Amino acid sequence: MRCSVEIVKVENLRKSYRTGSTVFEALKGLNFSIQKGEILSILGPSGCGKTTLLNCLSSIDYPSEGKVLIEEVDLHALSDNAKTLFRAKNMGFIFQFYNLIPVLTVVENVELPLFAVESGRKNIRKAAEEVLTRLGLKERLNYYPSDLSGGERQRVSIARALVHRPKIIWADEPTGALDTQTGREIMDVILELNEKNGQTFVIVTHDERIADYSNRIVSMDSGQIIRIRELSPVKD
Amino acid sequence: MVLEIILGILSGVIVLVLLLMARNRIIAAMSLRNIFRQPTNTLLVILGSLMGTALITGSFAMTDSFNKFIYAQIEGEYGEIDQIVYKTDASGRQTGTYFSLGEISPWLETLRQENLVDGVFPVIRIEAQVKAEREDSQRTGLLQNYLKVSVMGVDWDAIPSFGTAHPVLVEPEETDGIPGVYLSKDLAFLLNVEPGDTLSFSTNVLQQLAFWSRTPSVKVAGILPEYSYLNYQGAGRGGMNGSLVLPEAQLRRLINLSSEYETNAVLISNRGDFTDGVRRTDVVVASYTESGLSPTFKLDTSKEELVDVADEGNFGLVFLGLSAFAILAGILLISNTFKMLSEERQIELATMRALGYKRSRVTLVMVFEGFFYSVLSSVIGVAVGMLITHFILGQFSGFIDNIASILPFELPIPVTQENITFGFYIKPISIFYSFILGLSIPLVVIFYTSSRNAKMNIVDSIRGLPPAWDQKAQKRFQFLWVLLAFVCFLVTIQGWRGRNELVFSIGVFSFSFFLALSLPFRDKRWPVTLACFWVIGLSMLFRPAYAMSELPNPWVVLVKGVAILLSCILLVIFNLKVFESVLKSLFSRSRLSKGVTKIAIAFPSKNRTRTGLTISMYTLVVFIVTLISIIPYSEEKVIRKSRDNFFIGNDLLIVRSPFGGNTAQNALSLNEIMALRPEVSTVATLRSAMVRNALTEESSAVSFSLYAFTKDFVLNDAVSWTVMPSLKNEIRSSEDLIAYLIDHPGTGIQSGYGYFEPGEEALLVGSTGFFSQGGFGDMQQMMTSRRSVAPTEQVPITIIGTINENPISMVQGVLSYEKHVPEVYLKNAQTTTFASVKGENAGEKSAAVKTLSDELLASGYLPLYADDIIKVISAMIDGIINILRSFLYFGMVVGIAGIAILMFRALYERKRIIGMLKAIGYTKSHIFQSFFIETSFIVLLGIVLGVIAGILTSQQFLTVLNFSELEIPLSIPWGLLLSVCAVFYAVSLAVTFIPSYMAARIPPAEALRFFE
Repeated sequence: MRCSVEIVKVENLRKSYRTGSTVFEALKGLNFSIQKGEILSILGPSGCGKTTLLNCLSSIDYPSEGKVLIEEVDLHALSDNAKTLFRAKNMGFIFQFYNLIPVLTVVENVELPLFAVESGRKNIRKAAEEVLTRLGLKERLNYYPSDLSGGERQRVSIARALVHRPKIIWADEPTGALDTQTGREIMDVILELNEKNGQTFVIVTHDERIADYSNRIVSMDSGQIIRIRELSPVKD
Repeated sequence: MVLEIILGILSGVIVLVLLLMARNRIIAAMSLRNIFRQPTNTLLVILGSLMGTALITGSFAMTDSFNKFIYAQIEGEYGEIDQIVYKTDASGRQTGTYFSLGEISPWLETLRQENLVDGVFPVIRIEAQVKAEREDSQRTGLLQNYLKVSVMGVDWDAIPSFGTAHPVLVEPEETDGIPGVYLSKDLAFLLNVEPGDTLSFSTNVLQQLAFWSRTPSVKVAGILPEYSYLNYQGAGRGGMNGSLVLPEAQLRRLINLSSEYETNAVLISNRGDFTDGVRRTDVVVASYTESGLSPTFKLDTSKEELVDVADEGNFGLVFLGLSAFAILAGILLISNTFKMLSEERQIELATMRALGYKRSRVTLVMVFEGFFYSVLSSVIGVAVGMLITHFILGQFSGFIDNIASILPFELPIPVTQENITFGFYIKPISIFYSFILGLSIPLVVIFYTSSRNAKMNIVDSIRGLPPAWDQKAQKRFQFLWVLLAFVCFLVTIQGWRGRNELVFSIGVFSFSFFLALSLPFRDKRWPVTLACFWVIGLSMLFRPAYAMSELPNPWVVLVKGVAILLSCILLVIFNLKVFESVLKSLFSRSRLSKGVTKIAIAFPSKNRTRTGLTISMYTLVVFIVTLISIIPYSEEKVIRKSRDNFFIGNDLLIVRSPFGGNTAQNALSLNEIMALRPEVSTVATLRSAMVRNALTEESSAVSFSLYAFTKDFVLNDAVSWTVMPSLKNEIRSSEDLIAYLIDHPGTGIQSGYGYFEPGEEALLVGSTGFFSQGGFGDMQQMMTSRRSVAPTEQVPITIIGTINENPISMVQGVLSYEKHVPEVYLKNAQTTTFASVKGENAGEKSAAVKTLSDELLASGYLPLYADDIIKVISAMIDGIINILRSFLYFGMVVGIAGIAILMFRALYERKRIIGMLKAIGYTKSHIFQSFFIETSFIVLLGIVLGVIAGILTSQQFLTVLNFSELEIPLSIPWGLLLSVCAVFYAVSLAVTFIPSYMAARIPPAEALRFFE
């Protein structure tokens, strides 16, 4: 459910890599914004810079030039620790290969973001169980990741991304490691959560069918935005 | 034979590997490139393997060095001589009777054919007396007349061919008719002569007395090497002051010995070095017995007896045990390192399987890589191990100086560091075994783990999943555990029925473990836990009834120690989850992020094998350090407490000095001196004789020492004593006790350890002619002479009690008032004087002793102060224990290397996880802390286990000592243990600083892109 308030603003974002004497520009001066509560897809072929863009927007990588403002906060002006804390409070992550900790159970994996920021908080276990139940994983709480299917693992990953109620959730190819049917199921979950909680989702994908779930699609190629397409109207 | 087989197998394996490399070039190329792909990982693998091999080598070197040390005296006396053949006279006495070599040559030929010997050396051996001819020679205070020496005339050219050491000495020349001789080092010191000096040489007293004629001379050509067989002076040295060696022809001329007298002693060296050779003595003796030689020939095997006595101390066994544990720690490190390497290559091997490579070829990838690593690391590891051990032992070259400095007088004999201190020594075979172990263990581990990986499901391997539950393999293992349990059950029964505690112990402990593993539960946690508690309880509390009355066998104690150690390790490994829960609840109250703690402990808990191996390394090393700290500390504490028992409550024991003194006719007697000295508080004189008791269960009389005291004898109140219950009311003080003995003829009181119970009676029926050995028997034996007393009137004596039941006491026998003992028993008694000095504290007493000692030494008496005895004993114990401990600190390096490798490996494996954690909000500090907590978890568990297992096993070892001699309660040097453990822990943390720091600094974006 999208509204007209900007949550993320990107100004002249550039990212270069130096390999030997060659300088490669992964991002070439991007300017756009993300509305609160929308599902935004960043679509493009392999190597176009979408993951690099996601990393810079989410502060896990730094740009060579430009700004990323999240609710007026200049993200890359913060110190490393401040950035980390900002991420812990305001962001959730869904990875292509889940990145679940193999030696922790499902519920323990989901608890991790809560321990990162609110170690004194009570009922962490209860919060984790609630989220997992909502995602249909009530029977899997004490299983290990190796005991789950791909779809189930990705749901755990989504649960981990949501448990601390972040404002923005970054998803890097969330269905990339899944079959088509499961991928659709995951996107349905994301859609449902977006409608219920009003959280902003930014999804990186190369699959147009996945991108069609979003409110807007930012198409990229060779480090540049070639098109921004609306798919659903803004709610006033 | 075993050596040749091992060498053959090793060569075969190397050739096979090289052939396989030639046939599988692409795989060999892969393996070689893998080595250089990740330099850090390669370095860690080589380091782990190298350290393990170094520790194994060091263990062998320490054992060899220690064995050489405890056998040093034997080596100094015998060198490589293992047996001596001589001929006796008609009455069977050894008198240097000459014989022809042909009389025994058939037997010698048999020895050669059976390859039992590496040297047969006929010599002429006589006793002679020598004196330095220089006026200023010979040390003041020592014997100023002729010194009795052993002389050997030898075939000089044949010297190098005897034994394995092959000494080469320049043949001394005869100049102006004066033969040249080589002297032993101690003789040269006593005579104060150097090469070039001349000695008077005589073979009989008449020569010495005939002052009108010149005694023959010999010229000193050189000094014999210290451990050469040429230093041989006869069994027990027989009162010799050294040895003298010269060419046989020169000796013959010197003593006018005709050539028809071929030889009077044939030296035999068994095949092997100075310790290996003596192990063949039994076979040589058997051959001699079968040879049918004339009964006038005798075979002297006294070297073997000395070796047996040295072995009785079980020091070699202790060292072997400690070394075995250290070797095991080295093996664990190597195994862990190569297991991790195999896991790292899992995906590659699976990919090759997917491409169509057979399992056997896929396994070769790891075998080749392991071969490169193991060859390199075993060669370097052996060298490093030898260097480190050499360095450690070199730090203790001042060991004997420290002891000598404690004594209140200068030792008159040359006590050299080389012949007393721990010198570095390693046998060539030990180097070979070290290399073999360093080479073969990695290959075995690699082969096993890569075979396992090759059998895995390809998709699971590519996904990096752990091996699936293999039902077939589990069934095979199940069958194996059941079989082993059954076998061990039979061994247990055999041990019980055969009344063999060692076999029983091995059987019952092994049975317990295998039974637990054989039970049909997938999760073996509860069975193994119960088995571990059962084994610990059994070790600590149970001995078979038939064994209760026997001395505990040290091997049994060793087996129990291993069982306790293994139980402690298995308990923890199978219950890591319990520790995880405990720690989590502990940390829940701390500010430390619960998430950090959870991650830090979850990883080691889940990977039981890898964590278990690392914990075991720490446990092993700390276990040994604890053992060698507690046992001597407990012993030393008891010795210190027994101080007052050494000299039955007195401070000093005074004997006549062998080093000379005031021999003037008007010199004061000891009693006169003591009466005049103001430092003296009390003096007690005992006259001791060896007597025989007819009232025994033995068929012949049993001997014991009888000590007769004078009327003014005072028993110090510091000495503990007990009397028969019926006398407890009458005898309440030491004064009462002595008064009772004086007033009641036919009574005595036992001192020291053992012969009689209070109330028991003895019947004295004469003397055996020797004196017993007290707590410092060698000192007494030096002073005694063999005198026999004819059987005389029988004297009944009732033993009314015991003074200080303590084997350390100098007075071991029965005390009785001299007037109640017929004088004929005391006719040739040894007189020993004890004294106490004045002083309120140890400092004042020490000063008093010093002043008194100066006077006594000058007067020809040797005072031994109880506190000095303790210092010497403590210094000796501390010296040896410090050497052991230093070596084990080296073992700690192995544990530290293990944890470093583990954490670097963790950094590599968890890169993506670290990236994810940083992405979701975990700071650098959190990541850093998680690595530190993980290290602490593993290291502290290992250390605590090692301490617990060490304490429990020490209790077992002290039980052995308790039974046989002195009661030694367990005393734990907490300060030392805690400081050692703290340092071990701190250094372990320090080495994990680098991987922790690197983990914390990984940029999250880079980490998330990382694929193994």
